[in-house]
Amino acid sequence: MKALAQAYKYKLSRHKAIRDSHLEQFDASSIGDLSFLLLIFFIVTSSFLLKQGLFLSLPSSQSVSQSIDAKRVLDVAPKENGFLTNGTLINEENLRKAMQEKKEQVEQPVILIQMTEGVPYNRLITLLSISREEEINKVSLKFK
Amino acid sequence: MNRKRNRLQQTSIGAAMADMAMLLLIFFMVTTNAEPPQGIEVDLPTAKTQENKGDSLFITVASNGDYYFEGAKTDLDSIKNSLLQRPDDKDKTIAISADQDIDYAYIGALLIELRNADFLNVLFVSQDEEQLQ
Repeated sequence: MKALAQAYKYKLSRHKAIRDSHLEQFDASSIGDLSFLLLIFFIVTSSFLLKQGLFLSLPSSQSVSQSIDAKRVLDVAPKENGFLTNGTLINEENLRKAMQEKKEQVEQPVILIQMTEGVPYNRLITLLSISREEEINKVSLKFK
Repeated sequence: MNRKRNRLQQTSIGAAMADMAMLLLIFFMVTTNAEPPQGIEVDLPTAKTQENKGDSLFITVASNGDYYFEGAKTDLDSIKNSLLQRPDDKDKTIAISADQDIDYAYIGALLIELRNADFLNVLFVSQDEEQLQ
């Protein structure tokens, strides 16, 4: 009986030893790797609070008005159904052509955007986007 | 004996590193802002966009003409006053997120106030055409 109890005790101690050795061998490196990967991800993304859009530099309130050669100016008034240029309502495709022609005719053309009340904001964005695509960077924004 | 001690040392260094990584990870998860303070959802216009890499102040113009400055509902005068109290932020870009169908009059009035407050760098926040395609 005593021998049986001793054997059981030995078995228990052996089982405990095996369990402890398993605990000791628990590998934390995968958790560390994962943590580092996530850490790098958050470090990178936290500095990317970016916004995409179209830039416009406003003139200073103290700046004086400049005179520009009329030949350099392409006068465009966005409307709901197109763009009014020289009294003619044209679509996006023809506006691109008009911009390209202006670029061929003069150096550094300027687009004079005449916005009026009632015109949706997206018409301005469309016009700014087209002028950016056509590489005309000088824009004058007028609001009546 | 020495080998065992070395192994123990290596394990403890690895555990400390993992702990530190976890702490930093939690810090970055808490402090990261995935979205700028908009205040209200707006339907942005589409354009061929550029990325704004600098610091920005955020103004939202909702479809009903309400203005939001840094996520809080406000009006044009308050925006101008807030900006005048931030002379050190004049180099920052003002990112305007406006509803695409809003009357330009709201944007025009805002631009006049920005100009008066001497905040001259403006970004019209838009969805990128190429990304949408």
